[in-house]
Amino acid sequence: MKKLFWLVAALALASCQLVAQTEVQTETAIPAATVIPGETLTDETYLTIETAGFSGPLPPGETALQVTVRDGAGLVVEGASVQARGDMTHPGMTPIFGIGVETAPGVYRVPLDLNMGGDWVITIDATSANGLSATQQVNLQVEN
Amino acid sequence: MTAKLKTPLYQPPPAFDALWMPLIGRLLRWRWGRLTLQTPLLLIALLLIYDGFSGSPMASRNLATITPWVHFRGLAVLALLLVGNLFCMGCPFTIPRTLAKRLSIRGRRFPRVLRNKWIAIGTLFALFFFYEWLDMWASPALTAWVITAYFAASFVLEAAFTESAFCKYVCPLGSFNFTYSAVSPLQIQVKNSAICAACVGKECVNGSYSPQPVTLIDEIGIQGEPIKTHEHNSRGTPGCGTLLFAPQIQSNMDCTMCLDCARACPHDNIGLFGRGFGAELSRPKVWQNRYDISFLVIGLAWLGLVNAFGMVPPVYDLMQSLAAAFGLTALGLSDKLIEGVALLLIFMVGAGVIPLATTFAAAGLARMLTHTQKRDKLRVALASFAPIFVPIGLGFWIAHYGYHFLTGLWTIVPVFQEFLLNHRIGILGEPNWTLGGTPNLELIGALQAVAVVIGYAASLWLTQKIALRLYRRQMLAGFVVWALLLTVMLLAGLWLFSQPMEMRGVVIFD
Repeated sequence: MKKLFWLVAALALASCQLVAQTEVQTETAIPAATVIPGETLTDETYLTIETAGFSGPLPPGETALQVTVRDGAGLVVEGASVQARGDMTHPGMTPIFGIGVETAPGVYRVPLDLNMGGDWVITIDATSANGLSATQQVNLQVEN
Repeated sequence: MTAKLKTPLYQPPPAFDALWMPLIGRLLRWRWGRLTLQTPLLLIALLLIYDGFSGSPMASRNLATITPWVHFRGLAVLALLLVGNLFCMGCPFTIPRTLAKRLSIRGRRFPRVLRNKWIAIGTLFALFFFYEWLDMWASPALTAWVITAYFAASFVLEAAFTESAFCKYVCPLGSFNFTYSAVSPLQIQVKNSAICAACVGKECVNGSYSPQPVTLIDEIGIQGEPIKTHEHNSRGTPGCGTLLFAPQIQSNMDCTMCLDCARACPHDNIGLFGRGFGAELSRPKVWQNRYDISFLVIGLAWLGLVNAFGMVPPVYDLMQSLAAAFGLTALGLSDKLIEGVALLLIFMVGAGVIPLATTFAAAGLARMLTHTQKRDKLRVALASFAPIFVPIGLGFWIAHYGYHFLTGLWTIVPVFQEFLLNHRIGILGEPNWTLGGTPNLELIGALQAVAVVIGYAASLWLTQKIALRLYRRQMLAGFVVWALLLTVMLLAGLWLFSQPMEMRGVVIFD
């Protein structure tokens, strides 16, 4: 009977962990800019990504993100390679991809085909000509 | 006492017995046959737990979410329709059974008051509600916890009780499989019931396991000499975990297709026989006119609608309206909590109040119109028609799970490639995320409609059969009432599956 008690206790603990895990999952995690590993963070060693082009829920279909890439000093970065990947939060959906085209110095237009209503996580990767990179995730909602 | 075995004058041609199929039959009959099926699924389950806790938190890039919510469910409903309860047969959660039995406090049965399907109805309702509310589909970690909880619950109940209480009374997946295996073309049956009547050990239910060898005498000859004996020993097989007695089995309900009965039978008198699709559904009193089984079946059909409704745009408008109507937004509750309350209301009405009200009303009305109030109790009038909800319910589930299965069929390949690469195994190369391309949603939509309409048509056919058996000349009046209810469900299903999918986890209330 003791063994059973401990098993039930372990199950109860697992349930508490489960609830805690759920709370974590509902928060939006947007990672900061990434840097070259091992280097000290200075204005010249990291990039930041700013996104625009969506406020509030979007309708399904073609859309475009406006991505601005800056360096640590806040200056726009020209000639960067910008790519975006869109995943639905539901499993089993094929991801979508978009490649950024520079429309103004440091500003990139990334076309995306949000082909289904629901929650999307857009992961944007930017790499400058001198090899610095940054990644940012943006959550957005598509409503039919 | 020995029963004499009489050879009947007419012997029907032998039915198809899956246990005598080449290779597969031998594997199924083998002592370790079930374990052979369970082991790969156990490894997959452990892999899912591992990836769920340690892999990408993004559901579309994690095996823990892709495998159960996209592939497992789709394959399970197809297997139920085309073969049988294969997923209970290969269920990995029951593998620790032997260990649990060693820890078991022997002799204790599951409490009599709980030996019914009410707990299973509760766990099914809870599973689908929490699936929607907590967005289990979007959380690999949560899914891994659910799988872990399954192992734990199965183990604890196996250890605490003599029979497989988890499978029979608790497991929501098992209850789903039991219900829809009613349409499956395979069923456990005995070859000759006279042999069962003469059988001494009833090994199909009692098992042939004994720590010390015991010899049983099945038949005694004229001189008192044993004609047929067999031995129980430590290499024996446990009997039916859900305590089904093979010659009395008329339905797949509660049968996990573990085949322990066939392995334990010393007379080789049990087979896995072919039968017509849904053959048991038109048999009278197949589920003993029980309310619990009836509402398991009826509730599951409605849950099929409610579960799909949780993933189309109108549900969000309805939740907003409910939150406003009940003043939930004014209470200062979090959006998640408001969503939970609104969703609970939708589930309680859609999978509780409506099924109860409509089926009682239909049963009452049919009794009145056919003038059978004095002859049939309301329970009999309702439970007799419970089987008609199986085909239409399965149609809803195939439409829903089939959608996810077909749209996400190939997505498991790049996810597995990425998993291997993350563990420095490059054997499958770089993930090909565009594999399968964009699914043809028009074609999938048409297939969904076909599944729902076929389910409806089968339900109607069943309704006229049951109405004819129950009401004879008055059958039309009884048939029309139930057909009307099925038609309402059909229209609801067609409307629902014509809506665009919108899988939102975050709902913001005004």
